[in-house]
Amino acid sequence: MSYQALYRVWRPQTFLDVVGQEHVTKTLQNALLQQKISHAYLFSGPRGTGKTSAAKILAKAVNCERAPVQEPCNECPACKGITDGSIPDVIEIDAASNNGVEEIRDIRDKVKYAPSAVKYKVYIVDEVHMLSIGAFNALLKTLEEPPKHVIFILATTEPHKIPLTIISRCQRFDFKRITAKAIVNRMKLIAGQTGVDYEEGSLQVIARAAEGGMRDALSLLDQAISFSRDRVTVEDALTVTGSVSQGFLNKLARAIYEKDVASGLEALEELLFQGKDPVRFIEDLIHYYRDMLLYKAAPSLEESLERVMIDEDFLQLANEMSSEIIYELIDTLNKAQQDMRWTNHPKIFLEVAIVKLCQLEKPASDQPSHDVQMLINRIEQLEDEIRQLKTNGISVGQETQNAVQNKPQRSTRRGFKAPVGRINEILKQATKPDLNVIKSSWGDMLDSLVSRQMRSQAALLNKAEPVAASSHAFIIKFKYEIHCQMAMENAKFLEAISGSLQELTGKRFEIVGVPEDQWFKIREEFLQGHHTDGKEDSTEAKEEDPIVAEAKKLFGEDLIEIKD
Amino acid sequence: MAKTWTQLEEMQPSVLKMLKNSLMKDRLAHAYMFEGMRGTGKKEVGLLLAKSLFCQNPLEGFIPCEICMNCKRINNGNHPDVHILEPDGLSIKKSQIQALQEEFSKTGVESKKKIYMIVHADRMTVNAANSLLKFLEEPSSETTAILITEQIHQILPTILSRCQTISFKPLPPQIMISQLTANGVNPSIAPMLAQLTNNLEEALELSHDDWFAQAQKIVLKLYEVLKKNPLEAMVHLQEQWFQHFKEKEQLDRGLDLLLLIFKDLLYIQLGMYEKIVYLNEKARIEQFALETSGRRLTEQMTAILEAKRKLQANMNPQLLMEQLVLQLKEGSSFV
Ligand SMILES: Nc1ncnc2c1ncn2[C@@H]1O[C@H](COP(=O)(O)OP(=O)(O)OP(=O)(O)O)[C@@H](O)[C@H]1O
Ligand SMILES: [Mg+2]
Ligand SMILES: [Zn+2]
Ligand SMILES: [Zn+2]
Repeated sequence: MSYQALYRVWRPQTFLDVVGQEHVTKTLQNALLQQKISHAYLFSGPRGTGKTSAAKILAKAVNCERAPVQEPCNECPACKGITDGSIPDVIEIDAASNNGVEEIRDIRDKVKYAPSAVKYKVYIVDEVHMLSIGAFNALLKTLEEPPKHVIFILATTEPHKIPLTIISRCQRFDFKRITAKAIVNRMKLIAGQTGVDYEEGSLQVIARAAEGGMRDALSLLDQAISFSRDRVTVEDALTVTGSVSQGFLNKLARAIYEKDVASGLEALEELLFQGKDPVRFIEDLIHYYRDMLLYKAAPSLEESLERVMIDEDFLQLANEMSSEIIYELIDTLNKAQQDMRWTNHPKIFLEVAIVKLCQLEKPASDQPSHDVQMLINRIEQLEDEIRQLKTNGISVGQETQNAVQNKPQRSTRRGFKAPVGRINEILKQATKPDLNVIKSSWGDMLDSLVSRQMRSQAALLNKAEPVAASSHAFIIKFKYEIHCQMAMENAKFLEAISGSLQELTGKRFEIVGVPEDQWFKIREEFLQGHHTDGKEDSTEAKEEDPIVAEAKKLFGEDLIEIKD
Repeated sequence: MAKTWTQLEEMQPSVLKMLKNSLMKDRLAHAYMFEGMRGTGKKEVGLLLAKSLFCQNPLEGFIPCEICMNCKRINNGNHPDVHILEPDGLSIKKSQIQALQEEFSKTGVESKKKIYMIVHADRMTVNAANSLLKFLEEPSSETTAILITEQIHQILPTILSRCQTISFKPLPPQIMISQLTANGVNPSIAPMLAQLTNNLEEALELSHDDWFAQAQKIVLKLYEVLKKNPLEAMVHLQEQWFQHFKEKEQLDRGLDLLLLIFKDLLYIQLGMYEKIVYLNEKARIEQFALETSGRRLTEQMTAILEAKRKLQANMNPQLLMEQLVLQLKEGSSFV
């Protein structure tokens, strides 16, 4: 028997083990106890956060011989049979391999037969975003009149690819990125039980690099254990994650602050000599500065810092540097990062960026920066939320989310990444008149934000504009990535915009934000017709879309500049 | 000739250390993502790992003997349980992944062990990549997957999450320089080659290439005329530049060479003389460096990088160079 990866050995078998998703597991457990079970669930969320695991646990819990229970016992024949796959009533379908109508029709035909061994027939349709349109339609038919003994659990990382008609028939649960803290705790448990020795800081490094994915974290931990001698050290963790030590970031940040180009370049050289990836590194550096901004704005909020540990060098720099300059540093780095994505020689971009950083002028600081003000607002909002959480705890039994709702878009340590899939969806249905509807209400909407006491947030829209719209959704292009990120992460603000537009236009729109440079690329790719979510492989031969006509339809005559 | 463990260990010490420790501890993962630039030895290490697994007589328990039947067959590309999947045309299709999975549903021809490698894994279509997920996460026992890519940022997060990622490092310039000179390359051009490519073979080729020698001259000339008179630079573009840099790759190389001039100027201003790469023109470049400013240099470098980007986006080269020349001309304020 070959070695089994930690993430496979440690697949959660009870809701209790599904960490960081209490908003999901608590709700499910209540429903189980009260026997209020839905006939269709949609589990959505980022990779490696527990969707498939939770689906299997749910399949067992409903069928456990001791039901109603809030956890499967994992001992009765039903639980055991489901775990080892020998009970035919729990059926896992990999939609990515079987995306055809045939398979789903087959479900439809068999769904009516009662389960043979357990109480509920459970269909787990994993990677459900890969179903073809035909298969979705077939599935919809079944979801419209599900027999009593059937439960569907759909799981996906890409809910925007699921038709609304399907979503609206499901109880939806959004799995969240798992916090670094929860990841560390889980890894400690696993390390403890498997007798792995580690340096405390190593788990922090791994948890941060995993960006909220527990599977990613366990893969990295596995790798660090293999790589290490008998103890997983911080150094091992830095090596397998490709991250840069904080000491190094401090050193470079100091050189930049002192405008010492030579030391900056030498530090960079050293880093590349160690074989660190420039793209990865620039992300680390951006996060370092982002955390510094956050720290400056609200030193008490140490918890919310994503990457940085507060050490003496960091503190000193944070005190010396003005927020304005940090903001400019981030902006420059963001631009370089965008450029680095398409090139095979990212190093040179990094070098030029470092030189530029060292040459930044101190901006005239007499004008108060509204960006900093906005950051402070955002932090106050965070503090509010935390306070609420502390007093109310995590609300249990929170109802499912309505399908067309503006949820904050997530950003990662790679900066803000526009939801390309979603944007393409909107572009497919976009029309000029829809865009005009939005545009003609734009100014009024801005005024209304101001009257709603959201002046500082409204400033985020200063250099932003609506660039495409369908009848249900529209896209805002932001000049600065950080504005986009701040706006999109602010659920209240998004709600205010769409609420105001609803009053003005009578329609409710979903809002999607995109930074300018990403927008140009997405638009270009869309127009050239290679949207990457083509459902069939056979579209290898590109149809010669009349690109320009398409563009005119979307954006209107006046907006098209025909470039070479 | 397949490279041996020792040879690859020189190239990629930490990768081989990772594999060695995993093999020794019997902790080999069921799925790897080998990522790194072209020419960093990813596929070679993949084959090496295959040999380590199948070798009948591994030295010290993990180094392939290179002489047994299995090692030989892997070196010759005809071991029945080692499967290599490559793009069929531009992409790797779902049907290829399905065929692979079917193949793997049978037990190994000679043992239970099986290995598959997916070269250019970033070129899997969306359908192909998604249909790999389950198989990648929970393969039958004793299956080892090695995915290989030069573009890790193009890989789906759901795929990455299921693999252990191993990064292959480019050769550091210092080592590249010494290897080049050891191979008889003139020390005066070795540093420049080391800046232009991470691939030893490519660098060696360039060092013998007349086109490349000529290219350097034309690039330097462009810089000189730029300083004098931008109009003259336009003429130079027509008369020499476009004659020489015809293909997209050639033009990209030209832009790289141009960029290196500006970097040299910057290094001189910073007193980092050891970094200069236009060694044959050192005196002249030092003179130029006195006549410009650090800030101006970064603006110019930014403009060149921008031109490189436009080139990748298939902008008309003529237009692109003319714009660039206008931006580079001295004394203009850059936008
Ligand atoms: N919330 C969690 N708590 C504990 N372990 C988790 C959690 N999420 C993921 N894991 C670990 O990651 C592995 C994979 O999890 P799972 O298959 O549930 O993820 P997923 O959300 O379905 O991901 P994907 O979208 O990539 O399919 C599990 O076997 C477990 O080891
Ligand atoms: Mg899953
Ligand atoms: Zn049970
Ligand atoms: Zn052998």
